[in-house]
Amino acid sequence: MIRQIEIPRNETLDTIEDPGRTSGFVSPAEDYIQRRLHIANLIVGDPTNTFYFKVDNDQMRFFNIVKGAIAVVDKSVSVTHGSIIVCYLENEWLIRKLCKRGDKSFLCINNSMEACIDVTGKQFDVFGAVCWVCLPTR
Amino acid sequence: MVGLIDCNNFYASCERLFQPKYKGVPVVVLSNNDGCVIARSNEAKEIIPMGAPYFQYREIIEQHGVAVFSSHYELYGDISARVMNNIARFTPEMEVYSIDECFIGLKGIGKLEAYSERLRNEVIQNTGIPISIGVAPSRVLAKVANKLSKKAKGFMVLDSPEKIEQILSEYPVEDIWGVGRQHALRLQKIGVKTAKQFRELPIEWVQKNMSIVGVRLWRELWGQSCLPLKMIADPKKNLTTSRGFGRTTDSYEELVEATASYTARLAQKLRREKLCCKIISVRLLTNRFIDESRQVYPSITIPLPIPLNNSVEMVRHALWGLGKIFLKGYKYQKVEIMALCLIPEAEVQFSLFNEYEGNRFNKISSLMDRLNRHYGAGSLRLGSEGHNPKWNLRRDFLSPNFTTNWNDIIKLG
Repeated sequence: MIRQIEIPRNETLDTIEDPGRTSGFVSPAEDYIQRRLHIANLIVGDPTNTFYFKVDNDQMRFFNIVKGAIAVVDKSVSVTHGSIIVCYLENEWLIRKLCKRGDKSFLCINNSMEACIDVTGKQFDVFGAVCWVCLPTR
Repeated sequence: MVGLIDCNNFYASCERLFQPKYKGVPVVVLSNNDGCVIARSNEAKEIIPMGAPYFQYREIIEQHGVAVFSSHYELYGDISARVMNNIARFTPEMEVYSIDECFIGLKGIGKLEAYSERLRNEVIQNTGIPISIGVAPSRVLAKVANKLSKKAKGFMVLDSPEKIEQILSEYPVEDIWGVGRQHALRLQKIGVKTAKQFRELPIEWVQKNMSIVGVRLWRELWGQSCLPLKMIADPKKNLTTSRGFGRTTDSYEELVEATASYTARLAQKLRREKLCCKIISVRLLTNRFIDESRQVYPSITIPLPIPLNNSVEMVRHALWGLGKIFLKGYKYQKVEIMALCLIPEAEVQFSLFNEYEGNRFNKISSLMDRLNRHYGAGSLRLGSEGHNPKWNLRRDFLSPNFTTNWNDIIKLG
């Protein structure tokens, strides 16, 4: 499926509708116009199924996921062993790496199995796979 | 073949999506102003009747640990759009029937069982909202299949006359879509209890006793599609904004603010639909739940000299009407503004003898719409709407705007 998000023009910042339309000389760039890049087209593959969460601590710093980051979750992406996921475990929303061993599932904070949580027998819901994490620098 | 898809306990499911601790817990959603119960989870259905006034059931709600939510249409609207978009990826023929149900055309699609199952799984995976699918040769039968699917696998395909006959023989006649209570009683009196018995009645009897609507139902039950998919919604015939206040009021000033505000919103709706109205009606209502002796429902219908949809003039007419009908000494709960006799903007006829001077108001209104689109609804209002209104909607149990406000997105540990 071709997915391209239409980013509407911000009429406050960009007041002229088509800066390429010239009144005197025909613009030599006219035949070469391409769509300008927009970060949303890279990060949001399926806007209909995308949800956003905010990371509130540094538990996942091993994966460069730290406090203040925005986690982009695309629910249409399937969750497998090794996915970074957003999930709900016993009254708490978490971002963790999912590890599957046999029919058991574990939530990990790095690539080792130390300090991981066994979710067996607990209220555990996977919301979806985290596809991107956006981190501001200021 | 036609499919009917609906979301199971939609409002409760939306609340649970972002607050999973309420899974397995009874959940109710209240109407505007937290008046009465308008949606229930399956667990709540056993405890609280539909439409139950909240204040009457407060104790029972607390006893059973029922989770209560104010209706959060910002959230439900967004989640509904996500569900509908996902369904639309499966078929070009789709009619969104309400916030939580739609019909889909399935002409030329084979393996309907597998198709329905895949559609259902994908929507549930992508949105987190449980749905049910009924597939049958007609809309009325699809509705039957949909209802029964909830107790089965979540989807049901009625693709053979034998299956349909068998299902209808156990389906109560009063549960058929479009059979009202009056007709149901009438049918039961002559011994018709199931949908199968109903469709075995001679069509002449149905025509005579239940008019054209009954005949359509009868035919639909025989699998003849009489209600085609409406891919383009009909133009609206009239529009209403009516909402109760957070508390009752006898203050004329507050009623003016509320009337102005609701009328402005109504005018905005008209402009969005590119319609003008020829008539406005204004109605005041007291609260029928308290103080039974002091009830009034005054109303007025105001014909407009020229069909309108600009906020300035509509508010002026509505407030004039309010002044005419206002009765002192009553506690009002609600004001209802209706726009009647709607016509498309492009078909407005001006008077031959009088010059229309409202063009500048039309300009003001379209400018307000643009500004409000940019800065958020309600940023620019008419002065008469007041600000920080005391009569505003009561929503004591509102969940955060998880999907429409960056400040409300969920924090992760």
